Amino acid sequence: MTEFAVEAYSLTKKYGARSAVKDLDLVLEQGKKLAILGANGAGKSSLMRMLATLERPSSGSLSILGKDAYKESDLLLQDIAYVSHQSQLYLELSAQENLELFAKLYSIDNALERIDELLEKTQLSYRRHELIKHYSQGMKQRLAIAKAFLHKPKLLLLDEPYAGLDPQGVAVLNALIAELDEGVSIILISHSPEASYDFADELLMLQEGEKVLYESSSQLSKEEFLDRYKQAIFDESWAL
Amino acid sequence: MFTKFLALLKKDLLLEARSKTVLSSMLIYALLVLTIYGAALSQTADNFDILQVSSGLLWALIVFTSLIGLNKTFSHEGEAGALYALLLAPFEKSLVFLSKLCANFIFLVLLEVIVVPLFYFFFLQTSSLSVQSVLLILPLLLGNVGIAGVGTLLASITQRSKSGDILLAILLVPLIFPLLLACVSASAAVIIGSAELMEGFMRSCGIAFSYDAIMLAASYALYEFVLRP
Repeated sequence: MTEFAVEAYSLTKKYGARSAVKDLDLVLEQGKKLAILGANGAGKSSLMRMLATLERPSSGSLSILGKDAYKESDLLLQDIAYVSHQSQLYLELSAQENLELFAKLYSIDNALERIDELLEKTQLSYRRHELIKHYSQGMKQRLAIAKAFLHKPKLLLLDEPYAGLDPQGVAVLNALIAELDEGVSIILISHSPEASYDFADELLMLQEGEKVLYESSSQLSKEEFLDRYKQAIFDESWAL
Repeated sequence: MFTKFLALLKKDLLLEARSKTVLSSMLIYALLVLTIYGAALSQTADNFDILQVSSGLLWALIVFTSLIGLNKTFSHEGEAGALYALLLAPFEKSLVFLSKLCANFIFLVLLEVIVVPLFYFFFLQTSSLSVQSVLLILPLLLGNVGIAGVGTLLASITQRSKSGDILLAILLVPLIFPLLLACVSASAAVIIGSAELMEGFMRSCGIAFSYDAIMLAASYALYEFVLRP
């Protein structure tokens, strides 16, 4: 039986009279990678926050890893990780202290070993005891990625994770993703259509909260996808 | 669960020890209020008995100063979106309430360790310190628990609002009014020291204790709904 990482039906998110996400159906099999694209304000981050259970949909149903995203969110949290534009870390704590805090909150066994391993992989070991307010944006982002991988999630939500990363940071993130188990699903928001096409199994493009493209990357040539992406972004820019 | 609570409390205390944002702003504000009290009371008539109003003045100082600290309850969580990280971690969110309550309580106690002796020094020199004066600690502690508890709950609600500062004040003062009355009454009994007033001391402390127990239990139970989206 196929297991699903995400099953969303008629998902809608409204902020006042404005709909950020409109009547969206989305199904992602476990272990698959989905890339979400669209212009600024298309509803990508609103959708991602709903998938992370940080915001409730205005209407529609949302099931994540086979559990109701809101009624059973407590059971889900152990299996989700969310990386956003913000580092979601305490700036007055060191990298080590931040990771130790979240290791305790996630009840991680052998936490110190896991922290050592992740700091090593994100190349932050040598500055682990320094307050992260002194880190560069790229280093904070690498640490945020280390925190996201800390509890070995089954669903990884990455909202523009490459933003602010230097080539070294990009390589670190790519290496961590490559090491993930096959069963781990990834949902990525990106402004890079080419990288998204190469990365994802499924491609979703949003325009003013509505789905304008939702296809498997295997059923769509890269050229065709890039054309449709440019068309969607160009149309929206003109509409604005 | 206790390990997670300790980890959260340690984090809150460590953040304050490093940034000193809460204690320094509370202390500066309290010293300013004491200065204003000094200016205001310097023009009173010779027969004015400051003992009669000192308890009220002391609690006005504590409540207004506590608002400065309570408004900063989630300042570190707001800096880089760390509140999201707490919301996404799989633990009972009421532990955030308990850790923030304890931290706010400790900050209030530390503030009072400095401010209450100064208050005595500037305004209560006519009152003789006695063994009975130690009893002032009881209403102070009960008041701190209630203010920290209700204040933490309200700060969690108002931290998402742009006008959170004023909203917290508008909500906190009416909600802690019964506690404030009880603490002012108990403190007045200690400061004035008449036998008649001392009879009401334990009753006032009892009311403050009951208020704390009810409000803390309600805040703890409600907190999960306050913090979760």
